[in-house]
Amino acid sequence: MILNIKNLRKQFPSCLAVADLSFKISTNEITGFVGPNGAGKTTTMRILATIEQCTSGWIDLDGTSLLDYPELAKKHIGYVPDALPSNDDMTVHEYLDFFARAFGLKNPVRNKTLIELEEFTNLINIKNKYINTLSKGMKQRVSIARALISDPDFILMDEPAAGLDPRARVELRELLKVLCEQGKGIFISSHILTELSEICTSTVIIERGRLLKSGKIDDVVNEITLQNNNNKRVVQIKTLAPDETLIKKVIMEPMVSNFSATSNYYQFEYEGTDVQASELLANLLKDGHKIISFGFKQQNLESVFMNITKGEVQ
Amino acid sequence: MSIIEVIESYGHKIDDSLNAILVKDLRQIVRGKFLWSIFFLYLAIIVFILFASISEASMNRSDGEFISGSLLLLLFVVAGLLVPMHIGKKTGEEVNDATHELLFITTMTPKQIINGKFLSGSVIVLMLYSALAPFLSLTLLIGGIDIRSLFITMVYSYFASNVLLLAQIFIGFSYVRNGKAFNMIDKIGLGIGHIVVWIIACRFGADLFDGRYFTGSGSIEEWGIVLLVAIGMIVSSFFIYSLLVAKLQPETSNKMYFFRRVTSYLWLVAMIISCFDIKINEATFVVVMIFLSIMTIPFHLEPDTYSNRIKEEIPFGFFDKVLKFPFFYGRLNALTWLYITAFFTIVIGYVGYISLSSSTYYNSFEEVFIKFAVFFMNVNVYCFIAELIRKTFFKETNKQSIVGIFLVMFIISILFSVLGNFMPEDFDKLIVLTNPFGVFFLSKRDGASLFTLGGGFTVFVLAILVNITALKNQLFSYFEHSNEEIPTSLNEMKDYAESDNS
Repeated sequence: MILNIKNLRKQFPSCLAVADLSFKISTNEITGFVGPNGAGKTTTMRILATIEQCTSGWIDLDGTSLLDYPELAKKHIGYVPDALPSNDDMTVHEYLDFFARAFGLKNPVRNKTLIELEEFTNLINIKNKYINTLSKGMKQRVSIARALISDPDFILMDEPAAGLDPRARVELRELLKVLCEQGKGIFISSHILTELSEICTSTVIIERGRLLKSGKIDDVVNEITLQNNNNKRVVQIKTLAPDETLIKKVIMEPMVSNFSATSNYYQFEYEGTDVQASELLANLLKDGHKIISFGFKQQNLESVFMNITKGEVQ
Repeated sequence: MSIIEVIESYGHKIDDSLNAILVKDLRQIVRGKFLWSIFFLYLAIIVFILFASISEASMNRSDGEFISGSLLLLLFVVAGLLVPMHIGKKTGEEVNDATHELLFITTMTPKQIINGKFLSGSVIVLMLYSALAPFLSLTLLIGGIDIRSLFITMVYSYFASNVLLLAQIFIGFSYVRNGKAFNMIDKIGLGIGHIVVWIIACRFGADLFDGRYFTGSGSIEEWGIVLLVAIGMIVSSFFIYSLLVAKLQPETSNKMYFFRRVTSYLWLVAMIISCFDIKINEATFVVVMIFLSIMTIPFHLEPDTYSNRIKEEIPFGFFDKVLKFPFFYGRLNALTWLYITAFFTIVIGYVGYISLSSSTYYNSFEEVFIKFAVFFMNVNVYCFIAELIRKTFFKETNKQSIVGIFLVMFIISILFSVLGNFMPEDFDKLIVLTNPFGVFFLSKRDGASLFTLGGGFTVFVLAILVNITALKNQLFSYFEHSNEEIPTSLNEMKDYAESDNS
């Protein structure tokens, strides 16, 4: 299933929150939604969840318009807002039971669904606890369980890791991986980019409501890296011991620049393709250099994000 | 299947059919401190009133009336003020936390959401009434009141409490983001509904406390007031309820459908009442005119085009289409409905004229006819001016226009009232030509009837001509719609647009 967003625009009286945003989200994928504060991430998510109306644009789910048939979103899209559940005088089970009723689930299906969800999200031991006594991590689990009640194909998560401790984050990450393995498409916005790059397969980067980049994370990272270094990539080599002849040989290569060496570590910018890089490695090995590692320096999502955004808000 | 299993299966069925919000809210209310603290305080005051009254040395039959009046007033303060305020506050908190938004992405309809909120409060109110029943039965033993009056008064005040409950839920939901324009409507709707309801409540409370309904004989004597207040409450509650439903509808839906239906019935009721009230009070016309003008405001929020979703909702059959046209999309439908109801009113007015022919106040058919015609025209002219303002100054956003419409109507009505009352001689022609309501005032003067009739009809014809042109397009678009297959994908949409253009 594909959620297709085309030229999405949201004009508030005071500002343009989303400006002609186009991207796609697929099932079986975790897509990170990245942007500075005020970039329009929450507004976009609310529009996708059909809580907010867009000013113009198009959203379809496998070809059927969500704008004309918002009830489709109720079936296929689960939404986890940035606000955690805060209902007074209500236990976890009652909270989930309320939403199961709201989704029209009848018994015995309702009870079965709730038990399965509570087990899946590890809430079974705290199901009789009051929601306002729970930790943030547990509330986040409740929120995810609520979004899963209708068994949606897509789950939109707005800053789910905000305020969670490291353990809760790891648990959340594992939960998302399992959901993705089950075939769900997860669209997650977060500021913790290192974590996003660990779990996401694709990314959408926006600023001031405009799309900067979207696609598979590796592709985006490579593209941005090449763009920023004039098609040069950084190669890192580690040898068994300091090797003067290797330095001389590499410096002589035509596509090498900015060479630097620290003990048995060497780093340089390389303009060649992957094939040319592999030929360079093969030559070095053939000449008897004791190479332990050879590879391109990996840019991460965070450095890419810092490179392409300017920190501007609406 | 054993009897236990049968009972269990019925239990499940009942449980499944319960409104989700009713279950959730009742659970929360019963666990909260508010209900029990109010309930015990309430019982303590009841006991105090009873003891204080019974301990009086001289006890006579009229004391039963006083005690029951006091108890009912106390009940009304708790059930009609404190409980609705609590429910409204809880609703407002949910809106502030944005938890209500999660309901919008469930399969619950706006009506179910409002019904759930309303029922949970209503059940609590019913509980308070049940708690008072044994104490009220004591007052029957004392005397001074009959069981029928007591029962009617209780039902009556229970209904008033529910109207206030609805008004408070409206306040709670009034912060749901719907754009500034709809919030303006909220304030208008809320203001009217709430003021009417509170006037009713205060009047009811004061009358009750004065023993006005039970004067001496122990039975309700002023049935006219009771009925009028009851009608007022029904109108207010339907108005508030339907506006709430419209507010919570998704933008792509036929948002005003339910509101339009309800207001259509209310228009008819208002017009019929004004027809029968013709010999009593001409101020009714002023009230009804303002009421109907305000009723048309929300319709101006709607865009000119039908969304794909609404196209699918347009009925197939011709007669079905004719019947449902007033309830369908497009702000001019409001005017269409006015045309229909005005025609209806004029017919009733004619009947009214025949029955009133013995009256000395109205001595000709012309008087009656002018009254109805100017009444209709006034609303029409206001709507027309409002529409003109919208198109001129608020081209970009339909919704913003509502502020302009409201201001224009408000300013014009004040202006004409001032001119009509203080300077009738100097502004005769101006008033006649621009404000049909002025026709009515002038028509009562000797020798002015022919002139005013002509002026009134000029305005009438102009208004009709201008509106009918715009209405024509809407009628064509509605009746020519053949429920062809609506495109749902982007490519289909493009093809559809191209074929439409060609």
